[in-house]
Amino acid sequence: MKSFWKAFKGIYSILIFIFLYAPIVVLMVYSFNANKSRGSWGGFSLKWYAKLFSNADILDALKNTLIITALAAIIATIIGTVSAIGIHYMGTRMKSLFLNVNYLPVMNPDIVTGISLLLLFLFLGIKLGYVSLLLAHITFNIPYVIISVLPKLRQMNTHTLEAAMDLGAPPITAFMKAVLPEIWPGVITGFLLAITMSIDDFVISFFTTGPGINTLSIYIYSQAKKGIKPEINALSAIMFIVVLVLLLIVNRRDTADERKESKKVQHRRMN
Amino acid sequence: MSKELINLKDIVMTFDGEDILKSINLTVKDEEFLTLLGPSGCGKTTTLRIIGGFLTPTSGDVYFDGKRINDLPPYKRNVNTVFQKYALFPHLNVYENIAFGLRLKKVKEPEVKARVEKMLKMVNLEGFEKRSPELLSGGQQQRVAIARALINHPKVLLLDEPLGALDLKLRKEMQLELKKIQRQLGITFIYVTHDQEEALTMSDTVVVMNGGLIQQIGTPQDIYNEPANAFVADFIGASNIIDGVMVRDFTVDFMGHRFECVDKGFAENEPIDVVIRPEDFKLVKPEEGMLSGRVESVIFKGVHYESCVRVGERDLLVHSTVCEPVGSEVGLSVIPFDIHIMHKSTDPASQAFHYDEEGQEDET
Amino acid sequence: MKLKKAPLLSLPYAVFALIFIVAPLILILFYSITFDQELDNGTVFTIPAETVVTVDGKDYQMKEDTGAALDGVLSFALREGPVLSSSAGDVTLESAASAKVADSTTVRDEEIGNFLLIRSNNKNHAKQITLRNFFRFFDKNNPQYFKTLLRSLYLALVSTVICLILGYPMAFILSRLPSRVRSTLTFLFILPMWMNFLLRTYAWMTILENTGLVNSLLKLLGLPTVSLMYSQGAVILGMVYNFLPFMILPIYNQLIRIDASLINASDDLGANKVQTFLRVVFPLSFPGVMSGITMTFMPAVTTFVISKLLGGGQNALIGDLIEQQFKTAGDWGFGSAISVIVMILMLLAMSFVSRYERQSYESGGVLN
Repeated sequence: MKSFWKAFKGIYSILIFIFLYAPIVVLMVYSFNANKSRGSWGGFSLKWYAKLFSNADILDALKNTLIITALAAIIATIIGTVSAIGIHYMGTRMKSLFLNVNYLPVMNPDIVTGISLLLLFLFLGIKLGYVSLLLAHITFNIPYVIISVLPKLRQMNTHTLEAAMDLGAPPITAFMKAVLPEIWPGVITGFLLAITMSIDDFVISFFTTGPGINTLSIYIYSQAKKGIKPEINALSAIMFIVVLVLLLIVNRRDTADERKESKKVQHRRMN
Repeated sequence: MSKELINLKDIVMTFDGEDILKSINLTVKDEEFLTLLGPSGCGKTTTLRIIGGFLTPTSGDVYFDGKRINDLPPYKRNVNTVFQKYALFPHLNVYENIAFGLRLKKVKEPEVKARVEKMLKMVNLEGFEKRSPELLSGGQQQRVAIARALINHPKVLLLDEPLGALDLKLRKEMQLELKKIQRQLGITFIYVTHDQEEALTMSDTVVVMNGGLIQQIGTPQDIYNEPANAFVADFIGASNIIDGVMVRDFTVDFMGHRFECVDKGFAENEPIDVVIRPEDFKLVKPEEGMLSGRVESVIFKGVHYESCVRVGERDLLVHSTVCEPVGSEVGLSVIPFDIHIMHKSTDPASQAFHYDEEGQEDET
Repeated sequence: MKLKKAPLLSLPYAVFALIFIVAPLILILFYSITFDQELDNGTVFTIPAETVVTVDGKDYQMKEDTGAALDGVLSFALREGPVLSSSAGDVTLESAASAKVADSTTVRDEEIGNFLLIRSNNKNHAKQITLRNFFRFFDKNNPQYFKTLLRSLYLALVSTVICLILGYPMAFILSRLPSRVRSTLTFLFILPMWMNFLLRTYAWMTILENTGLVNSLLKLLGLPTVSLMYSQGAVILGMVYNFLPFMILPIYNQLIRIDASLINASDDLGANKVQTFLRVVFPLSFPGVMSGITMTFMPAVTTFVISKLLGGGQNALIGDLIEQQFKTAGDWGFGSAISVIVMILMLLAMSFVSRYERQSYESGGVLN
């Protein structure tokens, strides 16, 4: 019975693992196929990678994605952190009203957020393009920043800020010296979350972008609709590797932090 | 007393290359209240978990009623546990928490009802059936946990620091109540605590543990009056532990003086530890004392004054109902009966214990 | 106290949220009960697929050189007035006011058959407040829209159930691993989640399409090829693949939060492994199951990418319908109405689920 369960666990995990990774592996393998058709293997080739990097559309889309992502994440993190602090000090009713509004973009299906923003931009006469795209990204990023920062504020000792001011720090200094360091992990989490939301977003961008302004997601969509393009295989392979490396770095950093933390605890314990 | 119920034979437990239990031999008798006492990390909880079946010892055997039960899973043992922090099921109400074990045995509803009600009555929680355990106070949760464990009619109830989360007053109440329940049901309780007072109040037998070893087994009186080594002496109440030399039987030298004592059987001129309880010193006039010194500090403790008297190079702790002002010269006297002589030990686990600030942490 | 002023820090965001969160939703509500009569009055031309469009002396043939042709038609339209709009349901340009054609986002859509030209010089917007958009959706005589909704709910439900059946054991296995292996393996299981959503869907196209991996293998073995793409099965597969990690993760997180002492307690009270699972572990993981279901079901209902790429036209979902109204048909009113219906459905589902999630927060204190 025990060995059966053990075998089942192993086999089941492997099957799910294959299911999750097979498509990605297939894409990566095909990205090296000299043949355009998937029917046959035409030998190893890097030509799709070469084509990818000489494709102005893709490079343009990549540039747009990075700019929008960076700007949106930075702006959203600043606005989100500042307003999270404001929300933290609100009365219960005000707070719940605020949080409910804040949750709307999180709970609403992306497509509804997308078209609602489209309607707004057209209504206000904002030209669809960079600006509208950026505004849309900021809009759906802020709630995630707030959601990440608020728990840290709640964990913070209620009197931290008061203590700092009591010791003579004016509010802004008190905030910088006493509060910000406490909530910093939450701010970083919010920032990273905003980056991933932005980079991965397709639906909202699709509705709020203007003619000629593509993000990577939009580009992939328009290409995929026309059928398989080998350059996209190459792009997938590269993106997967980038994601893998980034996550490994973040993970490594996290575990290093944890270790440091536990060492600190141990140290404290010894004394 | 009654027959042996549980036997631990040469139990060794190793985690990650670290010996948590080094060699435990312990006999638990039927219907006794046995307490495993020791500081955090001494192995007491590990011992309890081995009896409960949550851990399998690295080596050694566990016998229950004469049968070896090393590999018997917890759910097949006639033993139930009251967990640290109670471990009540948050998704079940009080009634269903207590009925849990009966439901597993597919006991019919009328009987379940009768037995749960009896349990609720025993722990004074009638009327709380429908409550969620999360909405109960610590003491009430505690009672639910006890009722839940006892409804299965176990032969042994294991209690893992069950009163640790309660405040002092409630703890005292629950101590008496637990003792009452144990007598009433006539079953064996194995109780883990780091609180020496709790151990002395409730137990028939106290097992003092440190560093994965049993330091002493005895009645509360034995443990207090005749500590086996410096660790036990120090852990069970504050003690003065003084280096000394056993000159011959009934004669001991320490602090530059020769004393008469009631111990014998040591080698001639053997270095030993002398234990004198603070309340066994008597404060007298300097010229009347066996030792003389100067009062360094006095703290009022309610029942007595706790004075620190410097004799030569050493500070001695003295509990006394009289208060000598700080700086005054005093004499100390002690009767031979109150001078306890202990072998010096090379084992660090039996050295005097020093409370650290976080000495009450959970252990594995 | 100075802190009384602290809530003012949220003021900028309050204004921002009012404009970019609240106002857009009000706009949707407003459009959903609006009917633009102008649409009916426009003059309609059709440009057949093979037509050669001549703009500024250059010839463009529709379909072959669509992009350039469109640009031509657009600039022509801007100069002359007529506005492009949809053909028989295929992707094209949008309508509304002529001046907005240049802003139209659909110029990218190059896969075009026929065109309709709608002349709408008339600038008088005769907006009508009406519920006809909603009636249209639930029209008994024309049930295609309602059927699309049912199809979306059905496919999403099937996918969610499959995700749960596949995901729960996986989450359980992961949660029982020793902590060192656990973090590595969990990392591997959520890694695909970080891959671009479109690429993950696209990956299945390369496997399923007629000249894809599966059929290539079949051919290699001398077996007849099968048509896998553009079916409900393909859509379900795409959904399961995309959302499975979203099912595994919350369940896993809930499972590892269960205090080991509760499982010990259950063992201690006489429950064997199966009983402990059924009576303690599963009930305690329920909040995780609920949020897993939400995180799978909601995006599955409203997706239009998966259905577009894997499902083809006949398996259009409610998301496709909304997208179509805004991107091609230009019927904002109807599109908004469908969005409102979807929104209401999702809010209902959410409020149902949040009841369980709140429970999980309450018990969180004890579980931790």
